[in-house]
Amino acid sequence: MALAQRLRYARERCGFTLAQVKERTGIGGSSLSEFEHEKREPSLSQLNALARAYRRALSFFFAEGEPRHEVVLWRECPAHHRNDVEGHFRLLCEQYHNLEVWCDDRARSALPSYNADSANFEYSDAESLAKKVRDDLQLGDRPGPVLLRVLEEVCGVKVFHLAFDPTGTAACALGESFGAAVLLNRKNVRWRRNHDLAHELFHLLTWNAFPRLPDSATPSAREEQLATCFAANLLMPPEVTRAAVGRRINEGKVSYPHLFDIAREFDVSVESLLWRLHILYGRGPDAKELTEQEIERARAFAPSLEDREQEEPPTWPHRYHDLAVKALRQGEISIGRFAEYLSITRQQAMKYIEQETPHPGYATIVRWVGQQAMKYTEQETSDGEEVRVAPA
Amino acid sequence: MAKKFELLLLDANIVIHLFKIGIWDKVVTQCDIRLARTVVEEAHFYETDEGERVDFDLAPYVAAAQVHVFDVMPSDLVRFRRTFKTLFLEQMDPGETESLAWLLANPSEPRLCSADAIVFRVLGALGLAERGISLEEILSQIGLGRALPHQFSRKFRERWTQKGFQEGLRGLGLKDFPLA
Repeated sequence: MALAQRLRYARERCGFTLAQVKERTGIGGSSLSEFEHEKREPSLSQLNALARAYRRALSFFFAEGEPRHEVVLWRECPAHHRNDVEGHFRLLCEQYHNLEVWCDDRARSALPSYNADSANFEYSDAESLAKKVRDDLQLGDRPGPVLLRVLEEVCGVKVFHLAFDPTGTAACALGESFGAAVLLNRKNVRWRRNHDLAHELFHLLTWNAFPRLPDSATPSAREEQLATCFAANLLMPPEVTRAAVGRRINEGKVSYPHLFDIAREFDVSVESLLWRLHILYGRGPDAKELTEQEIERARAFAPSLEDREQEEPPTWPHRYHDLAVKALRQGEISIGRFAEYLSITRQQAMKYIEQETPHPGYATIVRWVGQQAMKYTEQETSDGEEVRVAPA
Repeated sequence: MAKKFELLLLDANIVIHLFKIGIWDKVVTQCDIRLARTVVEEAHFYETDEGERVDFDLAPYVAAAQVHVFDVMPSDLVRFRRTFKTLFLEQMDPGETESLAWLLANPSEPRLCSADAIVFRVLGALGLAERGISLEEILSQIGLGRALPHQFSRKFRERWTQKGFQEGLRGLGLKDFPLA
């Protein structure tokens, strides 16, 4: 695809009119039209301004072949600026991938893939899948507090946090180049984001099982229900949740302070916990209103009972930041590009170069660890599992 | 009066640092400076050591022809793109890409002053080591020598140019090494 066509493609993917692009870049409408119709070539500085407006890498406009059409799956599309948020998410994923390539440190994508038949996929399958994932990824009985780290550091999932509306939504993508990625809403509290992350994990695990059309931004209602069922089962395993409730039952009731304790234990929201109990204790559809009333009451108690610490999540994972610093110090990325990747000024970026020489002791320690690790040998157990064996 | 340096290309980091240390005007009078359009657009403020933002404007220097601005068209980058992996475009600032493309199009004259390792690597890989220059070397030659952070030093330039030269010999990062 030629430059002119790529310019038009990028603008249309953003949903911008020429007038909107003019407003964002200061480039005249007639010039923009001429660029897209191959009547005139933009200068590189104009192309750079357009790349920024369209949230594309400059290299996108010079690439050969057809552009990749990455599907971003939304639980609910953002009310405003959907294309902008989506473009930002996709750009962050590509930047993360670039950093991995430049640092020669590509995360091994260890997200298991499960074969499923979407037509016959039932709630019981979602429950079984949650149990299997909990076991396979060794998430333990209370996966909430560790899920994000395991997905990022063990499974190589790229997780970003941006602010958008409505807050009750998140997105995921499975890119050909960048792999599995999740976008969470930084406006949400951590325990709410845990549920969103588990929900998006379902979509990533079953990506190939459900039909994915290039322009289909939201999954079917059925797929969403299954994802919610999976998330609840993953974060609040049935036996463990029942035991946690059982320990706190007094005269056949669980107090609201105890409900907040259980939610804290699993690092989920009280709302999520109440719906989980609704299912686990077989309340059924007729009692839905009762559960909704309890949720309302819990919300009213939240200011006095919810005492979990909230921290603002970083836009990108720590590894993204570390790779960017590594790339800069290895001379793989310019100061300006580094500043752009980390949304800082050039002068802030320069400080990273000024502190570039690590303490000489670091190399010694790392070399020693490497030498020790090399003494271990990889062996396969009778179950086919790979283990590292200590030297005799 | 003849200027000490003819056709000197500067990247945005250099322009910003010269304003920050207060010697931009002196350098402009002694060097024939060419800036890529993107550099002019990007270099418009610096931060003091206390983190305070100070804006500056290159427009008056351009208007007075003390600084010359050049544009590079995407089609001018074709040679560059054919030489390097597309990803290289992403590793450098657009202003640096413009400067390198202009430098390649004007083989005998300009020199590029940068504080970026990747720029010197590319020059080294292209066998154009002598076309790169550090800020330390410029200031020293025009009598404005002073202590500078190490990314502006000759040593920094030499280290990364050498690395690029070795990579060029091994064909790393290049699609088609021009000297091969």
